[in-house]
Amino acid sequence: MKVKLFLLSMVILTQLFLSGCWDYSEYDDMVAIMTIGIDFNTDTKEMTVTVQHIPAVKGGMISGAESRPIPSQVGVVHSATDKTYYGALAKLQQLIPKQLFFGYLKIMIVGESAAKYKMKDIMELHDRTPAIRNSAFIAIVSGKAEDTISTMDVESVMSSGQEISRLINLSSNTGAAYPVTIQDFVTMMAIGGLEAVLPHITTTVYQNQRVEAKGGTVSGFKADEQREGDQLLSGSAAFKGNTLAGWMDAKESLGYGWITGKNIHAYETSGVVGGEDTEDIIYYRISKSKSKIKVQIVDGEPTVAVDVNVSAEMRKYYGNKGSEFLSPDELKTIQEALSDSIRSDIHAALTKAQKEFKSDIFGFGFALFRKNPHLWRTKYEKKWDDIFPDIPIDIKVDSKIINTGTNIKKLDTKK
Amino acid sequence: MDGTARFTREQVILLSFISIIGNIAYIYTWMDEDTGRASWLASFAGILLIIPFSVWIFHVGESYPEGTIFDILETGLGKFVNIFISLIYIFINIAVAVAHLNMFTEMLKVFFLQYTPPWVIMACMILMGVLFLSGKIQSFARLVEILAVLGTINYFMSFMLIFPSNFHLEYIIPVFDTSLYGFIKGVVFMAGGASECLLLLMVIIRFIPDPARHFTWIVKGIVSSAIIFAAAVLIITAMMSPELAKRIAFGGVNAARLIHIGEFIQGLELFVFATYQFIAICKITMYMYCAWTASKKIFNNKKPLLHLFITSIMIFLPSVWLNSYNKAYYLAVFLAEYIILPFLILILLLASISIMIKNNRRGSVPE
Repeated sequence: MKVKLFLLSMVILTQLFLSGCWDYSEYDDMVAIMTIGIDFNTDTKEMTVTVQHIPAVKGGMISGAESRPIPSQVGVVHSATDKTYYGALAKLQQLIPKQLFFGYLKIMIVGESAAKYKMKDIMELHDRTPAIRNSAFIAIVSGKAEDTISTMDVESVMSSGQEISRLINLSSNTGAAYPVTIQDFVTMMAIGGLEAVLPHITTTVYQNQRVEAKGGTVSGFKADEQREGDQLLSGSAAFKGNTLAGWMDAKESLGYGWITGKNIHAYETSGVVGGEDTEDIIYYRISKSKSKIKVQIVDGEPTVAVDVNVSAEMRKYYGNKGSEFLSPDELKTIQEALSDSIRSDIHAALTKAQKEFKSDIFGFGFALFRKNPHLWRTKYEKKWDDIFPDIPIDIKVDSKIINTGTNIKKLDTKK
Repeated sequence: MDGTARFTREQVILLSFISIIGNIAYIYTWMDEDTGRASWLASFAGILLIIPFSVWIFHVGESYPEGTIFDILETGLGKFVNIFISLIYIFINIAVAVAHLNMFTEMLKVFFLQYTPPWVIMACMILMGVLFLSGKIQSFARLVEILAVLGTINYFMSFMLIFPSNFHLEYIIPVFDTSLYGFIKGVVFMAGGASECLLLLMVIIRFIPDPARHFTWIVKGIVSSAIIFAAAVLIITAMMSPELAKRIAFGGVNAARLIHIGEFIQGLELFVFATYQFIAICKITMYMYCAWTASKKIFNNKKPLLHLFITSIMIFLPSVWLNSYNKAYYLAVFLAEYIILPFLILILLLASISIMIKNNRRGSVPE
């Protein structure tokens, strides 16, 4: 009995040491990093890491009818430069007097140069470190991530990182981009026959407009950087392997979304706005979209068939033409117009990916692998980059208008 | 006291379950290189492959009621052979415990206790094992019952939250993207790893009433382990993709880190960690028990508590000396690939020969 009591007391004693002595940390002694930005300078070959955090103590609410947080609460931005990403990240601790805590990281923003030259290095660290959660979003910016993160809307209640994160969350409403987490991106980098696509963020200010470092600038450090402006979700960034291949605008991104079966709730028109009389353009709100990619080997060559199924609700009918009643026959015509519009998005995306980027962002190669793993490994895997730009792709779009909104007749107005 | 102890069916099932399922910490990553997307199927088949050996142990055990395999070896082949085999057995059990203790400790250090010295975590785990074993073996078996059930529910409850958003069918279909040779290699490796269960069976056979009649207990334990193990591998693959899953160090914990509910609940690794904690403490205690039982037999059961302390120190010191996840991983792989199953087959052959010799002796002198 004495032995058991001794053992029990020893177990309890050692357990007291486990978390109490070495790993104890107060939340107030940590600073929650919301956003990380990564830039690469091609001239100096140096990496700049920018972080944004919310000050824990300073600030408060401006009282009154229009109660809002004072500007300093929307995030403080600091940056540090070093030869390596990890070095720059570690250097930030020389500037921020609290333990950096990445548990609530919302988004990682990568600058254009870093996306072109340093993506594998960056992802290797993120895939290995347990400190940074891979469930955070990732986005690419034109120019420098540092400038984008320090661009703040002083009237906003959110930090720039939070705003970008929300924009990405709502991206299915426009189809201009699709949410991608760090984990998703690493997966896309690893899977054969599938290239990565990330949201593309820009700002509403001139790229060359100076960012003011209110906290000062010394060699390798910038403190409290700010400039006024807003962030914009302007499309997608396509990759080829570990390298940024180029940008896709909203229409091409939408086409990418149709092909890959993304959850799209975007607004779509029957024609190009501005290209004809806008009164005779139909508006649709997409409620559901699905796609199926089939790869077949015909005469020894791979061919791709893409079936896109879309359900939509009509939001505006023709202004000057069309029938009085929105009958089933009329709906058929409207559905055709929607299918044509979707087809044109798809063609735009295919042309960009096949002819310009030569990057299989749609995962046709992955579909071929899934259909015939052996054939993929033995014949196509190594030369897929050469084959992909010339693969014939058959597009079939099946659109369905499930309702015409709150009315079933055309709007009649006085002449 | 242990001589009169009897295990129930549930205890046998869950003891075998924990000893097999604990290998998920390392086996999956290694076999995935050969089996690709079919790793979950290869794990299932590999675990089932140890059923004949476990039934063999049960039949051998029938000939010496309330005795371990080492009692059988001693009866037929003599003390010297038994001591020699027992020493190797003790060494293997210590090596298995050291590997698991290091892998668990390093997982804890990577995710939760970065600054805590590993020896503190190891000492805590070993002290718990000693505490469990200083009581009745049945108490430990009951503890395993509770922890196995809690751990399994905990593990799968965490992953239920991922359906359907984080579960990607395209990562698991097609199932076969490997060669037949690769698949078989994976199955055999899995069988080698799962045979850690047989190390335990060789000593707990003495607590199983009428083993030849109750061999279905162990079959049920192994089949349920195969199902749970394969399901766990399938979930990890479907969440992370086979390309990423095959290179990660702590599959379940890494997969659970990806689960998030709303803005503030980011990652459920703490829950999966709890399951690993249950498994690790049970496994380390089991192999400490195996080594302890064999060493007691060598010294004719004199001063059992002293032997228990010595065994625990023999696990603790090499663990502190090794102090590396990667080294422990390769040690576990080496044991699973080349050592455990061949050694166990050798013991079973010797035990069968021993029984034949014993029977022949009986035949020459009519009773």
